[in-house]
Amino acid sequence: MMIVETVRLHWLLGALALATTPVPGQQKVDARVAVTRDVHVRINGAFGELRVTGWEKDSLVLTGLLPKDARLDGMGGMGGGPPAKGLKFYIEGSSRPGGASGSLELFVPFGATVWAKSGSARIAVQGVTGGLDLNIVGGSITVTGNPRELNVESMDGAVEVTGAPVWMRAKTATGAIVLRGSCTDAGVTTVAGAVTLRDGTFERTRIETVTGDVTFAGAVARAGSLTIDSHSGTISMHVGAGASVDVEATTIIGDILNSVTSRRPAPGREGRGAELTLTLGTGDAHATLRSFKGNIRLTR
Amino acid sequence: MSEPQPATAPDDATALAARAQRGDVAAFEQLYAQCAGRVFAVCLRMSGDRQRARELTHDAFVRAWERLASFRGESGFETWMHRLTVNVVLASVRSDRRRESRVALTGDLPSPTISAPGRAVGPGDVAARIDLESAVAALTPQARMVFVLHDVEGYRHEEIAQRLALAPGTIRAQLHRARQQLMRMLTR
Amino acid sequence: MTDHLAWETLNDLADDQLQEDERQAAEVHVQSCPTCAASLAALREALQAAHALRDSVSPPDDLWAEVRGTIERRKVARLAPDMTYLPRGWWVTPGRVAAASLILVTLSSAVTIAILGPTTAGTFASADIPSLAVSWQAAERGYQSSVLELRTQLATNADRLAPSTVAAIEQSLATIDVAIAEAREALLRDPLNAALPELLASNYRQKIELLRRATQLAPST
Repeated sequence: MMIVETVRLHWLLGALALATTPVPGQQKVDARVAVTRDVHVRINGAFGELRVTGWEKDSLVLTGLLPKDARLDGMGGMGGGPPAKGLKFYIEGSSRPGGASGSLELFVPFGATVWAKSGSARIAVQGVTGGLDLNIVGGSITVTGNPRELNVESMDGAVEVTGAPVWMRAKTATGAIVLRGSCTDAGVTTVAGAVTLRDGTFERTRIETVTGDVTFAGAVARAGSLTIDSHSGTISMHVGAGASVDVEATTIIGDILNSVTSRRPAPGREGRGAELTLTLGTGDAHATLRSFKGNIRLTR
Repeated sequence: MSEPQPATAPDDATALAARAQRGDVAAFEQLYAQCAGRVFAVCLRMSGDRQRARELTHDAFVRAWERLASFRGESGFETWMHRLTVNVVLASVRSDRRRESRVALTGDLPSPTISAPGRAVGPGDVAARIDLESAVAALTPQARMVFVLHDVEGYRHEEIAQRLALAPGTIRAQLHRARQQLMRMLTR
Repeated sequence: MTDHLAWETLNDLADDQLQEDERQAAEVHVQSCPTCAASLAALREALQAAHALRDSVSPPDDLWAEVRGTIERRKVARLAPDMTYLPRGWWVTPGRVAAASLILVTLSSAVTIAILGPTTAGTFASADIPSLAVSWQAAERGYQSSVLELRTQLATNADRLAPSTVAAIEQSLATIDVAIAEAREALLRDPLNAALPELLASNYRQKIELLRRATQLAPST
């Protein structure tokens, strides 16, 4: 028997379709709104999965499935008429303990700015070139593409970026952070997550970790800078052929392994730890690697 | 729980809240002007007493001023204020109970039975005509609390259960008894 | 028909809380029972009217003045530390907060003494020694202040977070605290080490950033 459920949506601008669902225990979401190309979209609340795709249309589409007793509220508009410049969505989750969470798909113009926040969720974004601000506690964040600005925050959820964000800040407590690609201004902070930056050119990069291991396998741009601070995590810097960078490595009580050149690290202050400075190529860029008790490795 | 509609555009209230967070009392006064009616209504219906509602409204806004840092703008200010107000009222109820050693019993209401609908009180009746507001105010405290939270403010059984530290099934039973009590007053 | 619907059933029907088969059976009964039909109609009418009560009721005109007066009085009172809203947490008691402040002052002094020694006039080995010590003291005071403030905010919201989230946050904070303690101890022993202040500052930044993010977590996360 067809069970007709309604999703109550409150709008200041635009009109949303009420949907029917043939699936017991779930309700369908289907929202379509004309928006500006640089629309700001906020979506937060209880969703288990969110896929965001940038597209060429000047419209926003939100589809998916939510639990039967979940609730989606939306508010929109900062102007007097369509297309909308700003939209907000809030999802109030199912009241049933352990109940399934929603799965949503959001299409936005390429140049949109999307802010998404949830508890434990999988967020995947592709093709957005505007701004992204993604916050989770657990789950995962995956970004593919070249957003102008990318801010990702997670506690134990993993963060994976493939592309070339211009400006990026990635922060976790224990979640791993991986960036495959380039970045002009990158800041990465984690307490215990493993950090990997590779396969691209990085202009200004700062990485801070307490116990997480850091692997840098990219290139530092001409006149660029790389700074990595670690308390006990291992710092591994893979140097490509043709690299042109000054490297200054210091560990208070750890060890330094240099397999890039023949230079051997010198003992640190008071005979503990180690220090190493070396110049690769013409030293056009600068890398500062500091560790308290984690080891530092320089490899090809 | 259904979200109350903000009195003004959410961005205005959010901007005022941001100013109030920085210590701007004038901005907070504007927020008060926007929200006080709803807050007082909630306090009045949950307490059933106008003087008590005044005290609770005062406490709610003072608490809001002191907790402004926790308002992040993810929900509307009026929604945030509504939640805070309900918490203030429930906390005061618990405090009153501890002080007066008075417990609202769930079993002190007569067992609910279906009854024939009573004769509606006509306009010429000498007997007091109880309107809905008065009937709600006349409910026993626990019944009024559950009825207002569910049927007026739109909270779900589970939300009320969590806030009152009772099982959802108990809330459902209390709600049904409260409605029975109410219907008897309305159809007297 | 002589049997009527139970009051619970009528309420569940009005609230749309019945299972499909029960709902159908109840509706069939209501259609053939004028008593139950009238009771259901009256109940629904009352619930609709109750929902319509969700509007404003004007508070007393002089209430804002009273609210404002309380706010202003408490602002003045807060020039002295307001212990009413101390963060919860095993380590925070009024005595420990005071002790933490004392430790901070003592530590700062100890750093200075360790650097300057008992005889201070004109015995600096490097012109950098005084500036390193002084700048670090000020920075650490700033960090500690931020940490205490954020801890207070976090405690306000802690009961709205899932226990597992709180536990994960505390574990990460403990990891950072160990790193801070180790780096600080090393700095006390080797105050001329230029890398140590950077590493210690990095650990403090991590702590502040983690606390900041934790205070912004949504309820039930």
